[in-house]
This record gives sequence, C-alpha cells and structure tokens, in this order.
Amino acid sequence: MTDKRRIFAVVLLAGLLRFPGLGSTPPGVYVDEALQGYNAYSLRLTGRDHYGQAWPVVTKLFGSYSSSLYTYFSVVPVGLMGLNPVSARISSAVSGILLVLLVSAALSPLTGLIIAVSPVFVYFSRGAFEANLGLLLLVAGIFTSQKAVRRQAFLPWGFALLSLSAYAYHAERFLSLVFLGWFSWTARRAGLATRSIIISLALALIIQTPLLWLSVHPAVNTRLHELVIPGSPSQKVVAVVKSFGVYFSPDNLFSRPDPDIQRSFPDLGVFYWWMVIPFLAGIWHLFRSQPLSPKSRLMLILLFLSVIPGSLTRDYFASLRVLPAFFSVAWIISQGLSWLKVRPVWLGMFVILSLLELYSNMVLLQHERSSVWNYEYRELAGFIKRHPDLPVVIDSSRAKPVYILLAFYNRFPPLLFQSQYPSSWLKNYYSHPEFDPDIEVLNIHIRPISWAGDIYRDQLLIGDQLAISSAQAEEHFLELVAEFRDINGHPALTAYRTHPQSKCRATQSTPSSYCRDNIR
Amino acid sequence: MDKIVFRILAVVLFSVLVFRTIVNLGRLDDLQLIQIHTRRQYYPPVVARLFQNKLTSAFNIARKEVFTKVGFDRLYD
Repeated sequence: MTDKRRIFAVVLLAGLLRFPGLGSTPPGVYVDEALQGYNAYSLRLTGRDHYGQAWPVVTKLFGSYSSSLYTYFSVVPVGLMGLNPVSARISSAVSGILLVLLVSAALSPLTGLIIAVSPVFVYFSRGAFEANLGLLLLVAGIFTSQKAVRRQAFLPWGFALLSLSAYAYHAERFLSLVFLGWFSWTARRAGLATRSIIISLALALIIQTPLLWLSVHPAVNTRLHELVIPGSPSQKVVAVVKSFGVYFSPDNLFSRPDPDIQRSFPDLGVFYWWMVIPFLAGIWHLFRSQPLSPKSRLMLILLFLSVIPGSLTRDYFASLRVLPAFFSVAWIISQGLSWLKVRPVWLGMFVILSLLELYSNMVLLQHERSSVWNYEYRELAGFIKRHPDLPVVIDSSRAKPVYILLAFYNRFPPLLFQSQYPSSWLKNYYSHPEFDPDIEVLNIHIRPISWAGDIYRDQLLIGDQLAISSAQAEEHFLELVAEFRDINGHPALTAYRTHPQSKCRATQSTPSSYCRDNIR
Repeated sequence: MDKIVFRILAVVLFSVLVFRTIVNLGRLDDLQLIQIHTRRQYYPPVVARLFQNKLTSAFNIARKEVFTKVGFDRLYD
C-alpha cells in the first residue's frame, strides 16, 4: 500500500468515527456547546453575541470568559444547517479529521492511525470542544514553523497559525507564546534572515494584540483564578508537582476515564490499554537514540509544556486542558510501534479490538450519560414552545444554566437577550464575569421555586426529581402534566400545573396573602 | 535485545490480564451481574451479549486492577 492510500484509509477511518451520529452521540447538548452554537446563531443574525457584544475577542461564558474562535468557526455551519447539535459540533469534528490528515502527511500514517482511533481524540471531536480546534491550529502552526527551517516562506504562516490558536483555547494562549519564542530562536540558529523572523513575529504580535491586551484584564482571567490551586506557595508547589505527575500515570493514560463524566467515555481511558507497551517502547527508543532529532525534541517539549496549564489547576487529571500533550503521547506510541516492528496483522487485530471497545462505549455514552448531556431538555424545550401563554417556572436549584438550552432548541431571537443588557453594561463587557442563573425570558422564569408564592399563581412548575416530591404535589394541589424522560425512559424532569383556587379553598382557615390579593 | 524486553513485557501484561480476568470471572458479585443485565438492554439484541458479558466485565475489572497497581496515585498518599 502506498503512503497516499494509507493516509486516505486513516482519514476515512477518522471520518467514520467522528461523523456518524454526531448529533446523537453524545446525546443532547451540553450547556457550553449550546452557548457556542447560540452565540454563532446570534452573530450570524445580528453581528453580536447573545449579550449584545459585537464580535467579542473572548466570549462571556456564564461565570467566566471562554475563547471565541470556535464560535466564529461555527457561524457558517449554523447558517447552512440551522441551529442544531450537528452544526454546533461539526467544526470540532472537522478539526479532528484535519488533524489526522495533517499528522498522517507530516509525521506518518501510523501516528495518524493512533490519533484517529484513540478515545480521547474521538471523544473531543464529537462535541463542541474548542480545545480540539485549538489543538489543530497549534499543531498546524508547529509543523509549518518547523518546515520554515528549510523554506523560509513558511515562517509567517506558521507564526500566524500559532497566534490564531491562542484564540481557540486558553491553554494555547500560553503554548503559542512559548512556541513563538522557540521557533524564533531555532530560525535564528538555522540562519534564516533576521528580516523574515522580525516580520513573522510582528505578524504574530498583531494577531495576538487584542488577546494580550485583554489578558491583563482581571475579569477575563476569572476562570484561571477559579481553578488555581489553593494554599500557601509551598503547598502550591507540591500540589503542582503532584498534579504534573498525574498526567503521566499509566493508570490515567491507559485505563481510567477522565474523572469529569462530561469529558470521557464511561469505560475507556485516554488511550487503549494495549498502547502502554508501545508507549514505554517509544520512550525507551527516544532516549536511546541520542542526540534527539529536532522532531523528537519538539515533541518532548510539547509533551512537557502542554501539561503545565493542566497541572496548575486544582482539577485532578483534566484531559481537555492538556490535549496537546496527548498528541505527543500518540506520537510516542507510534514511534514505539515502528521501533518494535509490530506486524500489520497484530496491529490490525488490536485496532479491531479497539474499535469494538469504542463502539461499546459510544452505546454506553448514549445510555449512561444522557442526563449529563441534558438530553431531557430537548423535549422540555418543545413542551415550553407548545405552551407560550402560561407562565413557566423552571427550578434552578441544582440545574445548570438551562436558559441557553431553551434558547438553543427553540431558537429564541437573540434580541430577547441582547435587550436585557444596556449599552453602559456592554461598554465594560470584559469586566462582567458575574453570572446570575435566575433569568426571565418570554413566559419562562428560571429560578428556585418559591413555595410561599408560586403555588398561588396559575402556572407551570418544572424541576428535576428532587424539586417537587409527590407529597408536595398532593399538599399544594399540583397536577402532573408532563414528564421528560432520559434516553432510557426514566423520568428526569417533571412539569406540574398549579391550581391556586383549590389551594386557597383548602387553606381558608389560614388564608395566604396571595389568596387574598389574587383569588378573592 | 531491547525489543525482546518489551515483547516480554507485553507477554507479562497480557498474561497478568488473562489470569486476573479468569480470577474475576468467578468473583463477579450481584451488582456486577445486574450491571451486565442492565447494559445489555442498551445494545441491539443481536450484539448485546458480545459487548456485555461476564468475560468483558471480568476483563475490565482486571484491567483497572492492574493499571491501578502501576498508577502514580499511590506515590502521593
């Protein structure tokens, strides 16, 4: 088989693992995805995000700010396909496939194959994860800049891609700057014209200026402050060193899923269990073949640098934040496989076993994580659309910011939200990380249920299984009108209609002020 | 010579996984059997038994056991 055919086969496999069922696996839509999609929808219709900010550099994400490039990449798919889970996720899926193509062509089809089938890359390609786009741009920037050592004309392109990656994901803000420095140094050492290096750096700086300017804004770094490890400086150092090691633990790399159940398959680690042997062999081979080739040096630098943003945060093994490190791990695995000269028949057998495991986990993901991905809110959005005249209270005591899910599914006009934020607020858009989950839009009130008042108004009360018990429903004359079930048919949300007159009649001896004011 | 070391390592890993899988096969508790039964309902009936059976469950437990032993978490306790 020629290399071109191998690349084609690997890219085809990557496509088959990323595109089919893109809108249904994972089931539902996560709130971050809904925000990306809805902001793209809002930008397409009004040129502003749903807060009313025109073409933001970073987007307000509930209580923090997120990178905005993914939203911009979603504007065209949302325009072409309408606002739905597929259009929100397709930029990530395409990024995943382009990464496989790029890696297969620039490194080897074997590395492309490892990335095509590895759970971590499949998973993050199937959701609207901006980190996946960030990884593609970072890797493209690194390869192009590396190529510039032989062809100087590539340097500005490489630097532009590196700078662009900083807009795609927070971790790349740090990584892109380090690699810009690294490639400037290597370009100088390789004897590239100083003028070319300065022009490329100037271009990179121009691209990054808005982001660098915003980076000194404390509010934009809210997320970083939220995630930073608490404690004294010495405690922080110990915690960072421990956290750094966690990302290299064989347990976390080859067996245990990411502890965040929204970011992993139920029964799969970042890579497959059998990849531990080629990984160890790859490391051994790398350190034995001294001096390291420029490519090997680059991959090891990427591996260790990429883990830094993840290890500075308090979360245990946050795979999304260190995605570029897993790219290096995939390359090491492929190096190990090449060095061990694993027979194609053995490799084929392991790949088939892996694909079976992957299929099994996609099924489990659908059925065991549907509520994590807010599957039931699609049905709820449809129900609310069919009841436009009745006030609706959605209990927000435990729920995520569900307003964005309703806006996503029901395609609310962005002006509904934009009109709530005056121009004075928008002037300081990048200084408002605060987020109030209690929101009123149309007939919908998203807030905790007030048992003192809500039962005396004619309306719908909607909440999860803990929000309204059957005893409360009986006591307050609430009528069950709908149940919204998860993918397995288990009730996840319930909608009750209040009957204020019945409630007031039943409490005639001690009438509530609501009865006096509203009923009689 | 080096390659043989990794081939032996692969054989050792495979053997340990097979051994632990066999051991775990006889030790599946009621909860694990219920999980197999529940999960089978998620798959098309013709393939459900292929993906959710005592062997796959025992293997998954064995995999977790073996990798936990070589994980770095214990260094931090």
